[in-house]
Amino acid sequence: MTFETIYKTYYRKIFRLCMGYVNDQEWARDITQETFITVWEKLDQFRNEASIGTWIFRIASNQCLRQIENQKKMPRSEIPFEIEDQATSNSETDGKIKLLYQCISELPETDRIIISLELEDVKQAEIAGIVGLSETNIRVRVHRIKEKLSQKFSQYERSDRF
Amino acid sequence: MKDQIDFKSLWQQQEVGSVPALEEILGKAKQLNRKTKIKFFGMNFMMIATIGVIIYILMSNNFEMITTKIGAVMVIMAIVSFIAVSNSLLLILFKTIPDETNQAYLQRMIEIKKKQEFIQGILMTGYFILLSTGIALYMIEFVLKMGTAMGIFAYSITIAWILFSWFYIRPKTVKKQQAEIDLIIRKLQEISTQIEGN
Repeated sequence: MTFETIYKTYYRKIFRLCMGYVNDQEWARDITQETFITVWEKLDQFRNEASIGTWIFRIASNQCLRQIENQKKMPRSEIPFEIEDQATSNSETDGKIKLLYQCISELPETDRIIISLELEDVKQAEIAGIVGLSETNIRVRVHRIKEKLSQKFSQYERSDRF
Repeated sequence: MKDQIDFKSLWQQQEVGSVPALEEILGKAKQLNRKTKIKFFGMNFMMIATIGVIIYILMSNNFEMITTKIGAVMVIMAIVSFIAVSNSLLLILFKTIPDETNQAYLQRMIEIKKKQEFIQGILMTGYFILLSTGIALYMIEFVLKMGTAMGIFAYSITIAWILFSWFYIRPKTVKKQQAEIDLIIRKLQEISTQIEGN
């Protein structure tokens, strides 16, 4: 697979993963860029032990985890509360999308990665290979995170309504 | 009802914006590579040049006292150890390829950060001891040739500088470095526990 094909196939997926992690468009774009720079640099070292997708998602999720070093750049408390724009957003769906990403970014770091990969339709066996847990663990975790997410989502929706 | 929220569909609808041109990414990658190399070689070049100048001074002047030479060697050692440690830290970071599982990557980052914390602490202390002693020894020969008053003056200034850097600059630098690394280590461990604590 050439770098160009990889880039075109995975850019959007990686961006969404980063967006789920930081919930900030600019920051997510930066991490996505760092990811592809690493992919470009290390592509010749890629061995087919894992699928290319698993390999790229591993790099991207590790780049996300590495953002702790850049946290001064934007401490969590100062992350713009993007759902505030909800009232002015174009449609109800836009508001829901923002709300979903906001809810995900409030989860613990590894949960953010797991649920983002799950929503990106990555197989649970592959998620296990990315995070470093067993497939059974991932299945349980995904179930728990989804429940948590649904609760948060409904809470926000309710508070927005009243 | 809750289960009916179609998260997958919402997730996929996230506005991604325009995908930057491939050339842009490649350009940035190459630029970054170049910058890292320039930084790496530039730092080494500056250090080696400094050592060269010191060796040249030692060779071109006929110093009578052994303390002058020992002093100069100690200053060189301080500089060399600084280059060696900084380079090795830089190399470790270069070699960290983020294509391991999240868990393995976190563990490796924790190890690197702990190593960095340890090395930086020792390095700063060693660097100050070598540099200060080196300078003090190197000065003996020149001070002896000055008058007593000038000698006392020269040493007072040097000792004042040494004390200031030892008791103020060194602890402050070490403390600041350690605090930053400590925070990162704590956070990395916390995330690692999220995985292990499953």
